[in-house]
Amino acid sequence: MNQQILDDLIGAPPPSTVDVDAIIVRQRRRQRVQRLTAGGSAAAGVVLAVVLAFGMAGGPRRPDGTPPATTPPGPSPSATPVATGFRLETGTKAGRERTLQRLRLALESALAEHAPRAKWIYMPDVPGEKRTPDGRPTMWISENPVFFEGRSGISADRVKGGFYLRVRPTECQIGLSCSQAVTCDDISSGCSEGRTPGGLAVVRWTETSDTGSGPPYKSYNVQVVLRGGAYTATLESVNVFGGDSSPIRASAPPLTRTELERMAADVAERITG
Amino acid sequence: MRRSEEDEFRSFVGVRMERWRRAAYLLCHDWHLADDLVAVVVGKLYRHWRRVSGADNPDAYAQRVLTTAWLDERRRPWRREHPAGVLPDAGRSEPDRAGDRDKLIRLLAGLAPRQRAVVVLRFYLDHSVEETAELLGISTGTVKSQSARGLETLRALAYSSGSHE
Repeated sequence: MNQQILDDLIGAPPPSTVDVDAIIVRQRRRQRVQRLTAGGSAAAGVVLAVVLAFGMAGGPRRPDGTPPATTPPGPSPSATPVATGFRLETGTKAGRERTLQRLRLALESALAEHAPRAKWIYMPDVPGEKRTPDGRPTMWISENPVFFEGRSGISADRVKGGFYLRVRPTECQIGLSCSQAVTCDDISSGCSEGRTPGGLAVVRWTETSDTGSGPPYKSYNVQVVLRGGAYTATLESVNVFGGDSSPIRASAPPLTRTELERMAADVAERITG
Repeated sequence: MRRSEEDEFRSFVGVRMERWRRAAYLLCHDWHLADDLVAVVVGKLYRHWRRVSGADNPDAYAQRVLTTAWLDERRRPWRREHPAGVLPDAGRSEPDRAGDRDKLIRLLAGLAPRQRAVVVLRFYLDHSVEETAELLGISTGTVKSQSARGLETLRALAYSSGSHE
């Protein structure tokens, strides 16, 4: 009875925009990329092993049998390569993939620099999925319109929570969803506006809601309008460890407002347009 | 995925597509977002199809993914979607149903996200109290208490619209 009543009340739905064929094509492509990446990692591992073995054996010898000159020890390189200034390339698949990797590097380096006490941890997405290793946010590209997203668990001082990144266009295209830049007029309280050190417009806000039992849901959010104004980057740290339906245990998100804002400014200012 | 598996996947999805779209619409009240959520479900099902098709209850798996996708979406700051320009046809219904539909939407909008999920799982997708509790990871007592208000309102709607049993 209930289902019939609800169906009657919903009325006739509009035509579906879910394109199963396109989803299958995207998923196949994604699986191919994952296989290639896995293969590439394995190949890189072999190369690394060879290089290490070679190095441990003393490296190449000069024709006269003496070992090569060594350079004096210097500062060791950073564990995470730093993404320097880059553009959001959305026109080609290769450009989008490049942008995604640069965003990932920018995000990883921002966390290491501005919240060194925190680390990326695996956060479940769907029940029963295969666990992926800790240490990297999950990043992906959405199409129509093109935008870049990331999600991960964050652990800091024994507090676990969720982290989300979205770099989305501000201009809405006909018939497509979009996210216009948020202003404090859209948010009832706990919001402030400002500028990054480099002069980009920033909105910061906090969302809370009672969950009925246990600590309330709480999220810190920072949105930066990127150079040129066509995209925004939004970072969120939330006390919900998403995807596994576990109850909220932490009273606050794992990253502080200050850490999140510094990360957002750092990532946003690396994007040159 | 083998051809036969893909055919099985397409069939599974095709049969359930409209039900998922409607359930997603009840959760989010936005056909754009409803279709986005269903697309998430279809993508995840495809990725995990071998495990899903071998599960005892693939429907429950799909509905859990749908509900989780929506709850996940609710947590994000960019959930304030702004559909732009010309929107697709918003669907057709009898004029005298519009008021009831608005009432239903107001009822659902007045519920917290998890309460709304309880109502949709219990009264639209016909899950038991235990199944709903398991799908949402909450206690059966919570499901019962959160169902009560929804059921009462649905009954009132049924009575007012003359479609009661």
